[in-house]
Amino acid sequence: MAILAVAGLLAPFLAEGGEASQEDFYQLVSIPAPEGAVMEVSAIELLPGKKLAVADRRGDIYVVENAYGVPDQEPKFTLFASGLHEPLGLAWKDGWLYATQRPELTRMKDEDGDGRADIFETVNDQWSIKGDYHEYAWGSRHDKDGNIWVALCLTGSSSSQDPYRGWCVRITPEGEMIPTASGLRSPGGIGFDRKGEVFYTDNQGLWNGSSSLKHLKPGSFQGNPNGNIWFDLASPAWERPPDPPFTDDGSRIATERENIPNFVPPAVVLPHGKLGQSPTGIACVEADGKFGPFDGQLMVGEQTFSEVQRIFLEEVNGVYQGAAFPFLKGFKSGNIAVRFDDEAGVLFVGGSDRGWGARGGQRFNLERVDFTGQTPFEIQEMRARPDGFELVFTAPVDPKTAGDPASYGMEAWTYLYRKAYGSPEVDQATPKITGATVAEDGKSVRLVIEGLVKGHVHQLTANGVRSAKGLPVWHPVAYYTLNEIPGS
Amino acid sequence: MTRLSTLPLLAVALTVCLPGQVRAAADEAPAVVAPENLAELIAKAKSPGQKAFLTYCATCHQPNGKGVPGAFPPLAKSPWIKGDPERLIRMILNGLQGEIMVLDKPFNAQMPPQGQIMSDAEIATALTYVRSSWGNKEDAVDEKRVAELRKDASKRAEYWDAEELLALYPLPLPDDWPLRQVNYRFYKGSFKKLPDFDKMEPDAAGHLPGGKLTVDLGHAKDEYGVVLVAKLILPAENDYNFAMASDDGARLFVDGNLLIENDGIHPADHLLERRIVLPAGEHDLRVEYFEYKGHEQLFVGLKGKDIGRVDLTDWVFNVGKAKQVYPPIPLTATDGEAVIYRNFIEGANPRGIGVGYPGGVNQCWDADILNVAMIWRGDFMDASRHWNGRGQGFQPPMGDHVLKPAEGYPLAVLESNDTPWPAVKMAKLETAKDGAKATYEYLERDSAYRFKGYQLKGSERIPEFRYTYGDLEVFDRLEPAGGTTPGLSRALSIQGTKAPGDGILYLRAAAGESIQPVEGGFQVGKSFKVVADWPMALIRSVGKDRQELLVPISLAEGGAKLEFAYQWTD
Repeated sequence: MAILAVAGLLAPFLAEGGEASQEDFYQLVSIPAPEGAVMEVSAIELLPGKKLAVADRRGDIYVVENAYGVPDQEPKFTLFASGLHEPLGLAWKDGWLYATQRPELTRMKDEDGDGRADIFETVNDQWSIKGDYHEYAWGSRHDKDGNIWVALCLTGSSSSQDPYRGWCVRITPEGEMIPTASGLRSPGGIGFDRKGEVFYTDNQGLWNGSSSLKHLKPGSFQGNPNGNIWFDLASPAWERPPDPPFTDDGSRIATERENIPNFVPPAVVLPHGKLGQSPTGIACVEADGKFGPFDGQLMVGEQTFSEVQRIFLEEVNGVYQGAAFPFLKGFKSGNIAVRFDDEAGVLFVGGSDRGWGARGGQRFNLERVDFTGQTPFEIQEMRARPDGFELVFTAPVDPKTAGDPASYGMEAWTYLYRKAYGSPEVDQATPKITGATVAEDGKSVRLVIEGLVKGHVHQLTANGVRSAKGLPVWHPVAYYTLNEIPGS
Repeated sequence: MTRLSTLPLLAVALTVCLPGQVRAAADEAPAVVAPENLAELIAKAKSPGQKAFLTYCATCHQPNGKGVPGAFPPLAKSPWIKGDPERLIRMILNGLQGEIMVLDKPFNAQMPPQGQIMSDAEIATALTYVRSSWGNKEDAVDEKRVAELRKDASKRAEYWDAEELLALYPLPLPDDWPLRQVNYRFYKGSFKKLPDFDKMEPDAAGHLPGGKLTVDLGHAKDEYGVVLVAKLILPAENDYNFAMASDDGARLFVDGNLLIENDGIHPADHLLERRIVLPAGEHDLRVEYFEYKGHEQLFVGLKGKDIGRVDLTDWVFNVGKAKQVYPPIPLTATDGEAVIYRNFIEGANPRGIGVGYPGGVNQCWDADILNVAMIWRGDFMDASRHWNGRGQGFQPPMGDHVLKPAEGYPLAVLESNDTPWPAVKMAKLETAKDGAKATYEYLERDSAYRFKGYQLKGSERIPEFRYTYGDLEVFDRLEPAGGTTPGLSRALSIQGTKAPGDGILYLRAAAGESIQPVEGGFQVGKSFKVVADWPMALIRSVGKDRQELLVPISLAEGGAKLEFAYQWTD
């Protein structure tokens, strides 16, 4: 681990035109599991004293010390609890460790001080399970009001055979359950943006043309109607949304938003196959630049491709939308949990490929991502404008290439919104980039575009852009989901 | 954030002891490529087909086509790859679910549809690559066939069910398949015993081109008879073991000799076997069968030194019991501490909490009904079902002498001695799923109860479960009874003065086929005794053949404590 401390010094500075490699910017450091343990990481939480709590799919929770790569300090694992039912969320608050496990939200405490939990208090168990492996319950950390949000997968990821499958519920500090949103399919993680709004990832499948990051606005409908059958039981403060059309050909989300008042469209589509296949955990970066210039952005885990994607979010006309960028790759198993340490500026990532394949190749992983201090030349932000987009790069751009519309490319498409599994990309369009103006700050570029399509994913490529130092963009592609076009 | 002292501060050794866990098996998995390698392999792919395979298929089925045992089936030499490629194309376009057998190993994980992400060309070339790699020698797949099937695929919202797909595209038989010229004669009739078919006129007759024996001929579901005849080719003179199971009656003949007979109406619940010596070469095989009503099932199998086991019928007896493919992961109480296993435990509702105590007694406490669901002796639980693949299904206790001492909810307020014990109710919702009608049944939990968790007590870390019942707070703790007779003692502590409802508060301490007061307690059926001193206990009959043991509880002193034990008597 000692290497890390000096990694920034050792990293070679990129020569002009040299090929960027991930190790120059971010280093993936494995934290090996205790010998003999099958630590299929399913949730990670930070504990006081620079320790981690790590849950795994077998139901164990470890406390990990020395996970930050301080020289001469090996990671130490203490088994804090065991026997839980596939926990998929951890949260630390006021001396209690909260775990969202399949049947319930539990909080734990070590009362006798032997390092192991002895009190397991059920905070709430009012959602149903019937014995299907797909009945996953993904739990958030506490929101600003002390609630834990739980995203409940559909039965078999397709129907809703017992109460609240396909719903998000909130568990209050008093232990009451509040049905909060319907229309979920198969979540893979849940977390907050920098304002404390709650988002989850939902996987491609029935009524989901592609995987995406979705905004869990209370009272919202997220697109899959199968869980709406519990409205009478849930009796929330809002009306059951009308059903979308059950036709083979399907509709479009942009169309059905007009018919279904509470329909909140996916904030950021992660185009299936192009940017992973199974999005998972969500972590917001807030590190005063200690993790590169990505404060306020979301890191989203990706199980199949063993990656982490980067998300820029903005709110336009009251609707969340934004851009997804490829970011980190080469993790050693199927990433499930991500947790960012704001203070240290490091990202913890863990997962497992059990039952769901992953490119990583190892059965499970726990890894830490360290920033080397060298900032990659990237598209840092991408904002919608009435007639195009505004890009902010992480470093001053070469005005000639960045100011040339020919350095960019754009394609747009959407997906069928229908009951069948997934969707091809449809309604392809080729918006035309007619102008590219570098701003005075030397880092921002205003793109003027003809033919933006509301509701479409807009794929921007920036292959021709160079930094002022002559470097190409490390990841010259972005996928912006244009739910709303801002007014001028 | 609060003080750190609530968290373990003492560093332990790098390798921790894992109570209750067997060191399983991270390294049992087959060699798979390291992460960089799969990306590298994709970059270096030698053909579009290999590239498509590595990109879309290899994360699960592995670059070497060998799959992952217990999770993802192998493609190398798999019969599923052979023959008509439509089986594969349809499965890729729409996905597949349900248990399948591949090279004698069961698999059961949904394969998600890939049709929306793979183009026709990618599916065709990937399949061509798979069908010509790792020993597979099948024809190339034409892109046009994919394009044609894609037209159907978009109309299908559901995954293919394995049985449904195999009915359309049966797996090809192996090259050394021992049956030839399989023919049938079909007879209508309400038979309750096998008739003399040779004296009757068949209502239909034909050839079975699939080469396997079956009694599901599509002519009728009930009230029929079938005679199946075929040539059986044996490779060598040997001892052959024939086996048959049927629902309803059947007879098996070889060369005109009756080998096995199981006449009359009955389920296919056991196997009849017969061993004989047969010479090499061709033999006449004949099966007579009738179906009265209900299930129609016939299994005929053959075992021999030179041919191994061959299932001659499309239905295979007891395939369900051959499911266990994972090496067991037995969980055991170690270091004198109880071990807990929360998962789907067969015999309990989905919120089962297994507890294995030191000393070889166990229980499953059911947090859906706030009561002990089962107790058993010997080994605790095998975690291999849930800790492999996606962990599907309910797992029964690993040990023996499984008892369900107390059923349903533990407490109730009864208005009179005749008020029945409240039942565990199922709620039903009739609704529409994807626009089609569906009915869902689910456990409707009694809202008077709320589960509150458990605390691990003492050096043995024995869980004491806690719940509320109305305004009452209840603590329920079972632990090994000690003494020479195996059993579990149970302490139920109730705090509060007001039970929900008007009447007398009772504990249902036991239920069984019969309950008799005996010295020191109550005998329940033959299998266990409730050890207790309860002169006020009420023994009631429930229906014709069940009884229950109810104990009245007084809350006059601000609560109550009940201490008793379940003791095995067999």
